Amino acid sequence: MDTNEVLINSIENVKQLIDNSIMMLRDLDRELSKFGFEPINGNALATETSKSIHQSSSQYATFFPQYMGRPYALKADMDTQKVKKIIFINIQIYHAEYTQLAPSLISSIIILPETSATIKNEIKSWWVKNIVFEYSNFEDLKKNGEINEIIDESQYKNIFWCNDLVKFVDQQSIAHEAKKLVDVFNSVS
Amino acid sequence: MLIAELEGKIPSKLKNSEDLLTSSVFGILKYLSSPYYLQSILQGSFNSTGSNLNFDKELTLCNYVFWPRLNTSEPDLLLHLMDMGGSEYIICIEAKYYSGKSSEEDISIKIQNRNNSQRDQLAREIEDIHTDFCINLLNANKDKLQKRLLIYLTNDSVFPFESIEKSKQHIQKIDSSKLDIYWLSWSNIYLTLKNIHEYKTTQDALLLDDLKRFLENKGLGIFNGFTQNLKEVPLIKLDYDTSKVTINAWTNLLEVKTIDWKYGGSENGYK
Repeated sequence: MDTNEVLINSIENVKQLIDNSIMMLRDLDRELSKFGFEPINGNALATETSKSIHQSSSQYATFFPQYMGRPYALKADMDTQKVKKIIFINIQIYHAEYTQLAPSLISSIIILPETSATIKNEIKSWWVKNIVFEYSNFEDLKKNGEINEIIDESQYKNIFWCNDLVKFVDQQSIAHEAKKLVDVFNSVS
Repeated sequence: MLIAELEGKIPSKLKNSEDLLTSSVFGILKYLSSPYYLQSILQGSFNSTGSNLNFDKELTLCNYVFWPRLNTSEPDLLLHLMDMGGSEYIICIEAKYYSGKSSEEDISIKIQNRNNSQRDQLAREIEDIHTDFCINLLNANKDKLQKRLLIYLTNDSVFPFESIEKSKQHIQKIDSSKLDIYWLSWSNIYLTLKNIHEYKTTQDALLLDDLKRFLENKGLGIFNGFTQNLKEVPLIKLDYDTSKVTINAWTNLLEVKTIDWKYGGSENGYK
């Protein structure tokens, strides 16, 4: 395989990764919608990218996005402007500090220190990524769907679990993940 | 039309047409050997409380009326269904692809003065399927009608609460307890078809296989795992090494004289 072929295939693989990740998130949208959840950012994916010529490959915002986030709240909570906990899905494609990281799905429930009336303004795209990869040492966390719990210095309680993206193979695995998210969401306060 | 789409023979200006999409999908379903497939698809829709649309019994008959002209609206499709027990259902389908509702309620105008273009599209359609005109058009038996409902078929990934709630608020003349608006996504149609593994006839299998390919081509498929289309590639190392470029500029500098120059014309010193 010559270098051009390798590059073409690599780009094709990355496109597949992105397309499938988006489809997976759309399917999670639909599953969570059945339980009354709405994406806080509407149709937008939460991410960080950089168009700066001064970027380096080791910074968090790079030309090629490192993660896609999708936060959700109960529609009823958003309507009453009383959001105390949210679901936050994060697909981490890579991370500058973990070169051997397999693309991962991080499913999380975040309990806010105070009830928020303006969750859309408060939420940051990097919340989950920060807790999992920068606030914590990812290598020390439980993997394969085991639950981790971290309360950060601002008293945000993060309950999350990580799985390799390739573990998700079909609709059943997506429905199962959505159900687990809703069950954990309902069981914590 | 479906084959033309599959073979890339559709003019690009028609590729995003929701009418063609509706026609291709429901046109195929109409000619299948049984309403079983349609029933499976319709049961994938759900309402604002997350409850799926359910039929008590198996559907045995289905009459399709595309783009019927009702009193105040022209929905994409009216379905008149009958189940094994003889109960009848009227389902109105309003399909969207990239666009939203064709009209929304203009509350700045008194309700009695609003024309159709100033009324919410879904509200008008719901009102219309509750009229005798609609029942007569479909030749339905009013006494056996069990449900009349609207399915909002869209390309959204989540239940379009805002659109549906707004429409519900503006429905006139109908008891709100009788209102049923469900949501179905195009990708959910694909999902249902993908989960069907047994076909009643070979023809059904052929038609539905084409329909699945068509939905995939339109980007209306579903997540199906990450590894299916990945290609194996060896790791390569690409380096762009700027240090390899020899810069001789410093050794070839030309002597220059200083000049007295100011931008801005004579007022600022230019002569």
